[in-house]
Amino acid sequence: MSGAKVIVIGGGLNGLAAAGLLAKAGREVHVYEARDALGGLAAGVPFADGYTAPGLLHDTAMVRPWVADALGLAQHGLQREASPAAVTIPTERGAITLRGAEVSGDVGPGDADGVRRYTALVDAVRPVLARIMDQAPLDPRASLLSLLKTGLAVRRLGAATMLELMQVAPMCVADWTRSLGLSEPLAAALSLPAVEGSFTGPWSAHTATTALVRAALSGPAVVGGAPALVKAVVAAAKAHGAHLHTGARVTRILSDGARVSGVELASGEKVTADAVLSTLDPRSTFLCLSGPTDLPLGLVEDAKRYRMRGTTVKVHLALTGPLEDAAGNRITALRATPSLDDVERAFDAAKYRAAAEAPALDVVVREDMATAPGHAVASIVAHAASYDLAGGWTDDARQRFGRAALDVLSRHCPTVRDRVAHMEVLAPPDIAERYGVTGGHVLHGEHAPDQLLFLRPSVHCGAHRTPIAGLYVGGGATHPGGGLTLGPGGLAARAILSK
Amino acid sequence: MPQPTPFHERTAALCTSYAWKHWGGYYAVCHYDESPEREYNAIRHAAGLLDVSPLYKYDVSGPGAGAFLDWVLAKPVSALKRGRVTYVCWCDDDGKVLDDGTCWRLDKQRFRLTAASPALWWFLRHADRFDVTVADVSADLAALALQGPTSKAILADACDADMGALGFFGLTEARFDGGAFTALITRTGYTGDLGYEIWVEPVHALRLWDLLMHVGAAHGIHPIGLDALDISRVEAGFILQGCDYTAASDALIPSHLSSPYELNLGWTVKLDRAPFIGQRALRAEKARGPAWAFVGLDIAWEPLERLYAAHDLPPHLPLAAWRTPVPIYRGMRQIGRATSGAWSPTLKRNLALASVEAEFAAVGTVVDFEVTVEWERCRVPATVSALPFFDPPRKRA
Repeated sequence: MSGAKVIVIGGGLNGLAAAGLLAKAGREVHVYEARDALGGLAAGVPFADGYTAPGLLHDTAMVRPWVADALGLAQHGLQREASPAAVTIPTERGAITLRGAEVSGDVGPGDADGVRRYTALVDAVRPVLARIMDQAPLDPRASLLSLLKTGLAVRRLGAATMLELMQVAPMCVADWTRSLGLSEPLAAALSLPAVEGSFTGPWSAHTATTALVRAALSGPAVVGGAPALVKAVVAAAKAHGAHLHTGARVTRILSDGARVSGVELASGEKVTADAVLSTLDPRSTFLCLSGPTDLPLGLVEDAKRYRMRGTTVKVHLALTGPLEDAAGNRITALRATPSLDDVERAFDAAKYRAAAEAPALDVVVREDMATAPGHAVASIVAHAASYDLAGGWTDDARQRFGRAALDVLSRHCPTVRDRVAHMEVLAPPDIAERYGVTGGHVLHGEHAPDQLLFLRPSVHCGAHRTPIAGLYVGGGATHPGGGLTLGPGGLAARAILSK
Repeated sequence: MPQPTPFHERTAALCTSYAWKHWGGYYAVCHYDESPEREYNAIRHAAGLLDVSPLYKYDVSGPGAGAFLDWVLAKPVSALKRGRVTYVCWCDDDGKVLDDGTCWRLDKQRFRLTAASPALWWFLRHADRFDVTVADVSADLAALALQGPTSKAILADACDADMGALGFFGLTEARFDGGAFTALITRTGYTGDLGYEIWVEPVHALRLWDLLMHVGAAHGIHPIGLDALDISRVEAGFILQGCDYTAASDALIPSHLSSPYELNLGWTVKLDRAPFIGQRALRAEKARGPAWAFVGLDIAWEPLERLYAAHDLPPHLPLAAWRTPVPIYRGMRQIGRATSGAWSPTLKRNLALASVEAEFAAVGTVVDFEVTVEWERCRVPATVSALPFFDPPRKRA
């Protein structure tokens, strides 16, 4: 069916990546994006006159190389940093600087050795995890050969690594990082990526796996951040011949319960297609865009059950100067997480329909995204608050959360308060509304064992195919998961092309 | 603890046998007398009055009621006319039967379902995708089954409904006792005879009972218990959930599951229509052919008599219908099980309902039915018979 028409719902990174790959393979591809901007959660967020935040999600270190290569992103301007960014981790007396596997500054006695052991495991399992993430999801029902190959890859890690992996994988990240002998601030900082965006704290089960996967898949960041990544993917998709439509909201996936026939747009226009790829979350795809009798029961029930309670609040600061510590050192990245218990307490709030009084902050500062010379933008992923806040997300509640985040930041950066020209606070419902993500869950659903691999988002569509012929899924709610990876879009395109 | 039904005051006073059972959380009479014989004969020759209040009842209403039921039930009901009732079953997504019951069209946007077991959990699981409200009205309605040849005459005397116009599987509202209260009458039943079911608010229950008993006296009315009903439903070939088949939700192992095709309910399934729960699986099963068939068995009498005679005993049969599964053989191989049965006092035949492997379902096939005589396992021939065993013309009147 070369040349057949494919519709991609959602012009986020995954939709664009899939569109580019499908167009490259000779398909006629149309991407329909409801918003006016492409790039989804990675798109730059203009939030004040002269200030643009570098994406709702700003971590670009996890872009899967195979998708970037297949799209030819390098030819479209994608560059990756030469070295890992330096992350500032405030401590009681000063700060630790974490750069890749190196720690410096106010380190504890066990930190250097602990980070070495942490990095050693991450490096050792990287090939296996990359293999799992870059292929169709592992499925116990699949051919024995494919399972065997992965099993062999695990065995090839050697007995010591394999046993350590088995030991660490089910742990909570707090237990793991503490067992490495790390000082509290460093342990907490290494745990933050494992809980960010999800309904977990460092004491939640299986978060060690999330930490391990995220660390293992992280490479150098994209030069220019998420907006530069979007720019390259859009350019590649267009160059391959994909048609990108913005301001075009899909309101219905048309099917007869057995085969997809196209989509209906908000304008009322019906567009036919041989295949439809939805990069939206399963609630949107299967419950909102599909009629009540379009899908098999199991899929509908899985979509209802799929867990995506957003906990992320995004805070954007327009700064009239750089972000600096008390000594006047410039900070480009910071994780404000005094201790594991502080991160856990921040998550506790989300459990009980509240917002953290001292949120855990993942801060990225960009001076190139403020137009005025010397000004800067601080992009803060804050953990955690409830989507369903008691009393509702009023303007007052947003301001209160923003002030709390600023309080946490001021402890290490005393001058920041005086430099805030404007602050934007996006609570989970704001994220849900603006980006069309159910629950405002920035990862398109929990990265929990029951929602990963062939179970993401449902056993009925875990390999990017659905029981409806011609209907595919390929957003963050599919393997290999949420975040700015291009992986789901790449694998979905592969699934369509292999049909 | 089981609850008394709204008719308990009357049924308890009459239940001299003290033979009660639990049914759907209520006390129900097995038989008023020492045996169900008189009660059975009331059903076939006059009229039996049975308290069926424990049945589960659900009201489905709203603009999406028809679409919702078309999705949930194996038979589409959105085109059902107001004032009509239809027999339905519903399946899980694997096409296995959860329950069977009746569906009534009360109004343009209002239906009622009856069920043998609680079903609200299943309906609510799917209702949120439709513009529909599902309410459990089980306790809001007391119900009596009035079954037998004189039932029509009794109701004609007892209420203002035009009984001549109330056809098989019809539904009408009627005023009783000179308009003192109203009730719904459905031309339905579980006996395979002429019969009705009357649905009334619990507050009027005793009045309805008294009125029917008073008016019915001239027509041979007799209160009946579940044992008499059970004999008549075997004669009528009606399946009973939990006895002849296991609800898919209660199945412990795959072999407990049954599709409608395996239960003689294929006629209630309409496959070629908009998607509904279980459609894919049912299509596949229909194409493949069901593995099991639900059949009637006519158990040979003389071989049974001979088995008892060998012990110098007269043949022994239980007074009521039985529900203990019995193995069915063909040669050395077990090919099924009989799930319930009864001596039919009307037909004078020893009957059973059975599930057999599909290849043995043809009428006239002779199989072996296991009987235990004086602690010895024996077999007697049984012939696969067309269902229903008893099918009088008045059943459809």
